[in-house]
Amino acid sequence: MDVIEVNDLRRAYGRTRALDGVDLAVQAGTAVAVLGPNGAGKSTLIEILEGHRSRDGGTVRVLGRDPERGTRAWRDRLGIVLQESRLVSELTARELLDLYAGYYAAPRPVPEVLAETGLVGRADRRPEQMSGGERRRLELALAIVGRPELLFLDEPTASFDPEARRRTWELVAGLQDAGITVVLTTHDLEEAAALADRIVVLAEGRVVADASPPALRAAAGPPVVRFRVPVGVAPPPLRVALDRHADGTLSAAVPQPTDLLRTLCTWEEESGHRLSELSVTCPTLEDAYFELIR
Amino acid sequence: MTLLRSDLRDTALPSPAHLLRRQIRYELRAHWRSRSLVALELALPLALLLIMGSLLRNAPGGPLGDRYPDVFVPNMVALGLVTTCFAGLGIEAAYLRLTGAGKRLRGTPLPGWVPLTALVAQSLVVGTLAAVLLALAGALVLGVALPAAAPFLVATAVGGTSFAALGVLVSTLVPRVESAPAVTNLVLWPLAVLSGVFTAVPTGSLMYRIAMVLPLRHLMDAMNDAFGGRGFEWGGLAVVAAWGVGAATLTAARRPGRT
Repeated sequence: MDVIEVNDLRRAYGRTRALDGVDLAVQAGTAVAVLGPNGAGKSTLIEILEGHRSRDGGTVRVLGRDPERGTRAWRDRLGIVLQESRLVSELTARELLDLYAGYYAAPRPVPEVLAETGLVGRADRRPEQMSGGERRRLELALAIVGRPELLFLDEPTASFDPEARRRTWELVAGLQDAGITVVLTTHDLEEAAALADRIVVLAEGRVVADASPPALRAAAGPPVVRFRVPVGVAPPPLRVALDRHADGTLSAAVPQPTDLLRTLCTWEEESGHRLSELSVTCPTLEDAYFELIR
Repeated sequence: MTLLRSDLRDTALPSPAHLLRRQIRYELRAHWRSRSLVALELALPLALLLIMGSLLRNAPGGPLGDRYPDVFVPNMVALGLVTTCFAGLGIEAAYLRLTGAGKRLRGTPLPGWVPLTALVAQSLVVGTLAAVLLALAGALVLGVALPAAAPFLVATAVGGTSFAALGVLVSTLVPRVESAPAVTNLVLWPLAVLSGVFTAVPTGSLMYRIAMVLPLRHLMDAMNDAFGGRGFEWGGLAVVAAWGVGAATLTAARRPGRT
């Protein structure tokens, strides 16, 4: 079942087309990361899905409803971590969670949420007495206290240190395991690969890729085998075309690098020459991403 | 850990009235912990009342009272109420709008009208408390008679509500969070001086004529009548109420929906 269905979504600011015919479907229980450079339309898309922003055209259904006509019962099923917001600084984390829990029909116990977000030791501190990472975790705690079915995370680990980021990933993975659908935006490709079943890349208001992280990585091209032959020695005879680089190394892009490696090893043994600087490099998600948004 | 359970989903959402009461309780709790707001709304008017009232204890009061404190205390009660319901609320409403706090709340099942209504209610509670505190201080320290209860409460209710509406309107004009105190105080203090809170404005002067169009002068007159035992100042209260209705109408017209 699709939790989110978006067809031909359009939104402009003046003459700038922030979203220009976006299609998107998100199945229940999956995690989708929306990536794209600044100004690609990520935040506009998320805010339209959350019901915070209107659209110019197209159809949008989130949990079976048009977000522009979202009811209280509909919002009861959502959890939202905004990209930027300031928490009321005069209430403690525990009080804020207690306050927010009271908005929902079937909230989770506050101590359970504090424990899950690693805030037990900070429960009686106000947001202004917390670090940036702790405040962000508190925002995540506020988003999950209502027992959401669908969770929107707008750059959830921005300003986190590596340990806090890793803990948040584990937390989000736990939420996914419990069946919560997650839609997140991030600039962090490692985060997208770690958390998402699918990555949607937006560029200039259009979806330019929608695939799983491995499929996206594969779209950037095959692995590259690179090596150097001794000076004055002819390169091994191969069935694939070799590229010669300025530093004297040779390379070939091959879908199955093991075949080429086997051939090179055999050549070494038979010719008595040694290959140096032998490496196999797989294209990264970052390579694929930059290829897409170029 | 139980996260999604259909039996829990059958639970009904809390009623709006329950949510409003709860929100007001939390707003009050948060408010009392905000030292800067408590200083602005209670400490500053109280200090002004005691310092100026003591300095000019035996100065003449003009047409409304025998001594300066007889007029100054009702004026300061009106100003204390307005400081809370207009300036304090204006700052908090601007924070709600500009910090993303309101947007986060709109993403929850809390009815959209609850956060601002709770802020207004909180400011009315604190404003009434400020007015009572200033009246008591005036009686205990400066020997000014306590006001008649009914006219005082009516003036407080009409003045507090109308200036709350004006505070919310002004909050929509604040461009950045950091400028909220400056914008609200920039309106409040010139208005206070123009309206003659601290010293009488000559009748018939240009300042007087301007002040008579604005709401604070009329609220001060209503308070003076309550303190002086002259009953209700319905004409003045009608002007104050008209400003409140106008502000609420303008705010409703300016209220941003989805962007």
